[in-house]
Amino acid sequence: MPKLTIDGKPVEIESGRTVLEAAQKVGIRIPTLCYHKEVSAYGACRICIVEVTRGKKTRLVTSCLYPAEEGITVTTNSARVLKNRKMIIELLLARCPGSAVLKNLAKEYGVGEPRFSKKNEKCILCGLCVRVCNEIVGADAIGFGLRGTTKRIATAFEKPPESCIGCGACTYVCPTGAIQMESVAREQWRDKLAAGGRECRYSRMGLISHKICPRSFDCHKCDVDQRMEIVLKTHPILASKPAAVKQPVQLGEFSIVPDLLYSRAHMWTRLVADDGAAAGPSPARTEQRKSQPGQGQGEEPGPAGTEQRYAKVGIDDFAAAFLGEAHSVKLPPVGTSFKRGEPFAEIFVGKRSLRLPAPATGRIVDVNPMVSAVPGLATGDPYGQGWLFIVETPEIAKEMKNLLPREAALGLVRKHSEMLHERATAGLGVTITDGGGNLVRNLPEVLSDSDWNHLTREFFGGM
Amino acid sequence: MNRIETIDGFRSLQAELADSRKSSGRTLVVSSGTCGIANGSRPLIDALEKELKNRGLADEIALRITGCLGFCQIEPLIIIEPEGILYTRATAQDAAEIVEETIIGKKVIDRLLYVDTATGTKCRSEQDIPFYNKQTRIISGNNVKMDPTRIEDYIAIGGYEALAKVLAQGKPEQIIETIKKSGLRGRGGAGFPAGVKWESCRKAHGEVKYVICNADEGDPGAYANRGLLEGNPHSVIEGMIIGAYAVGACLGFLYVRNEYPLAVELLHKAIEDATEGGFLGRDILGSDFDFTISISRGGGAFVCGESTALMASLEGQPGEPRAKYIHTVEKGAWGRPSCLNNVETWANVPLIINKGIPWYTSIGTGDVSKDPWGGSKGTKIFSLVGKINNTGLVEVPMGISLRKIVEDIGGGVRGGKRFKAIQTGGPSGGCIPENMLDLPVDFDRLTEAGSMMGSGGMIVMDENNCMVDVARYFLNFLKEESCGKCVPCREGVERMTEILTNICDGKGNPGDIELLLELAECLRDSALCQLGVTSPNPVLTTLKYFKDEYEAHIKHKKCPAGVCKALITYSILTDKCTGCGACLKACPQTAITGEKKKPHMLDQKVCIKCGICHDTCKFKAVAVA
Repeated sequence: MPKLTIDGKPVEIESGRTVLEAAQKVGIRIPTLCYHKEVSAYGACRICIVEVTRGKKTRLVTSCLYPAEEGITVTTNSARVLKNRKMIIELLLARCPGSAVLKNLAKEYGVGEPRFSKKNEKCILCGLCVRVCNEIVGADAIGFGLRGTTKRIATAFEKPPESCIGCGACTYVCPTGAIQMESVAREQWRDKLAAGGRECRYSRMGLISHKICPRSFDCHKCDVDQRMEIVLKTHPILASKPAAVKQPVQLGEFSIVPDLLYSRAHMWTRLVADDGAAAGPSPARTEQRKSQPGQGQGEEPGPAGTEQRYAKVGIDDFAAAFLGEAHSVKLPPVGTSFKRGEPFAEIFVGKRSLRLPAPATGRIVDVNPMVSAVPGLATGDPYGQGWLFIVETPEIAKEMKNLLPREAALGLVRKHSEMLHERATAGLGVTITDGGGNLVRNLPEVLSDSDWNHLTREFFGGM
Repeated sequence: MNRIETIDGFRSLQAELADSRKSSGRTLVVSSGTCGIANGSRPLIDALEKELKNRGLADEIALRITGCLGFCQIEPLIIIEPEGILYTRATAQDAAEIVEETIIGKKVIDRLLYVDTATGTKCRSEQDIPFYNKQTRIISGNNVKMDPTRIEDYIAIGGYEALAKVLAQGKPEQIIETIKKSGLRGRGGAGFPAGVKWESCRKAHGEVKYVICNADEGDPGAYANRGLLEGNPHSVIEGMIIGAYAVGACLGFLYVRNEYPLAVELLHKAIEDATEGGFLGRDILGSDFDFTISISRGGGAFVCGESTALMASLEGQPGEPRAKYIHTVEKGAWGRPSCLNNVETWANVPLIINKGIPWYTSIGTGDVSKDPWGGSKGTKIFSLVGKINNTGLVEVPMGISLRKIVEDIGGGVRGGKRFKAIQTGGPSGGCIPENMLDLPVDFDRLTEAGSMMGSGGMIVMDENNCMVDVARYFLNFLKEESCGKCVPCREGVERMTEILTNICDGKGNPGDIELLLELAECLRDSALCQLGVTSPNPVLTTLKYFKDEYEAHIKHKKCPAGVCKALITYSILTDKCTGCGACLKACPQTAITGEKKKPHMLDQKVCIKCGICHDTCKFKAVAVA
């Protein structure tokens, strides 16, 4: 636990925390605007600056981001800090002269009338609404538009966002009241839905069990709505964090990305658009496109752009950890067709090689050129730059049904992980875990032929 | 080219290519970088090719199309090897004469030779031209020797030798030690010792690491990186491969601005050729080292030259910087250890490996044997532009004085005007006045003077530049290019621009200078990234060295340089006016009236202060005040 000093007070806090959190722990108040404990720190408003001395060097840092390190000395109200903080308040007040929170800060720090022309904005662009919508709600309904002095909070293409669930988390975290709920969505629901189908917005968010709204979405008249915050001590959606389901899950030493689909042989699949953006530029892909009309195979392109037919494929972290570092990856050339379960990709590690069965029936339209150049990527960065290929599948919905979603995939990895560790203790004749119970990185080398065959059949044989 | 499987295989290929180069006969070199193309190099090349073919010389005389050779204002250049005769600004119409007279007749065409602006003498070859012979062109000097589309040219002059050397030794730590001892500091601006950065990246935890080349050169007037990318792309790629081997990276990213289409095209070709030749990809030159480079094109945001914003952009996020309390060598692109260097830094690497530490440290200032921060070593390429006689890319040893760059290489201020200031370091750099021209150019001296090295822009200003207007220009640029994330930069730079604009418009108030200084201090202390932190530099240096101009604007409502329109008036001096009528015809507002051969009159109410009358008058009868 790092020990540091803040305004003369000694503080001890677990590692990985910030100076701001350390200060809060001992009751030292540092003003913040773009900070909220439920979302990632952003460091944009700069109001939480403090002076940090580390060794002989003293500098101003934002306390919401600076790590609480061993031995540092922090001053939250030195003359230098106050001078900067006052100027920042003055700049913000000139931008948003009507904001109560800024007026209070100005009063507290003795900032008078701003010396700059007034702008009459409401939003200070702290980005809390954007982060809460992305990180907590998982809706990504709002974001930043434009840049610099013209920057503002916007929706995609300036249209009412389809992904907005009307939860109001953005209005809840906004420090200046710049973002307000419009009842457009609720009015639309009211117009569209018959009385019996008017589902309560909290039930839409999955926070309460099914409930029909008796008040035509006049939430401010509703007991449930009024009580919700009091009961939860925060905005309901901040308590339930629906976006958390998208975060990678750590299962022992394996990391599993939940919003992918997995095959039983530890390959992941993700639907991608046909614009190639997800796949990135690749010579193979361009070539393939050019050659298609000339070959005259009579293949009609699918209905214009609406239906996804392409899926990106790679190996999961269990397979990557099991293999260690790939020395070479053999992928079939672009154009190859195969059926689900047919062995088709081969990964070589030292003297061993592993043939992986295809997760879906289809035809390869692109292979990752970076993986053929740097095979170690397939195992080093399995969910990122180590993807293997893109497959075109005509009946994609049917194919995807054969794959495992989140819970089932986690179950499979859990089961296989347990089996592997059990075998380690039951004596494979070799040690396959290091001192900390993690898988050693050179399994293909240490396993005997029969163990290797047995385990690979077990883990990568099934479809 | 066939894939090279071993280091010995590479050595024999190199010897073979070098031999065939030596035995080749006469060569016609034509420079055709972006500047050459803009000046008509392509029709010239077509005409030369046709002419050689028509005369049956196509096999005998080789034609080498190179990148920019540095002296941009007189491009396209033609050099006839081995004689070294240099022609400037040749056009397609000159092609027949060049082939007839010089190639066949072995005579020099006088009218195509370069005339030195200072002495008026004609220069026969590169060595005779002061612009060239006062430089130390250890990096850019190779551009003339190769066609950037031919990897064979690069190998023949010793390219990829450094890579073969480090792979044969097989000691990545030793490379880092070499780079550290060489004193190579980041050429992107801040001058962080490259070896120290590489060492931290090597030590950082993680199996997947990246090296990144920052080719997002966005400073107004700076194009030093473009010259290198277009002239010698392989040197940058070789540097990146060596760096990747040293830090243990498997992937490289070349982040190049999309406004450099020729550079992007040539880099694609270079990467393709290097991959085919076995310098990139799996088991490079028979070693067990795998590495590949992918190109990412920038979308035109200046802030994406900042390392963390660049990495965000690389990831597909909006190009916004983030706090660097955890360094990018630990957690960079995609949260993985990333070693980012500038184009020029990467291009220095093969040179240091090949020629060794003593040679490299003999160029430059200070002592770096114990402390990599102890000096500035090697050379630096600058884009020398503005009110100067010789415009182009100049490569000079660290420690050279600004005076030598401006007067000896640049040939002094254009039109015999008086030198006022030189702006270095791009929009976040500063203006250095005449009395500091003997300042040695190195990272630390420039920073002490309130400016910085930056990515290598040098803009010369003369007596007709208003320094308040210059500060306003750069601050306005930074205001436009601020990402808008942090408050001091988004709001502060805008307010500084507002105040400066007011001063230029004659609406300056007492107290404006103090408020500017207050804002500057806040930006320096509390802005998120270096764009914000360094943004006050143009204001601070002009205030430091040219405070009288600010005071003239604010107190006396006058612009001494005669630039700020709101503060100047044009008038016709009746004793000098001959009544020639030139200004009368040129005036777009018909503000000037008068009879022929009688002094003219200017109506101040109609005048829009465009200055055309002033520029038109041959008798200096139009005064600005």
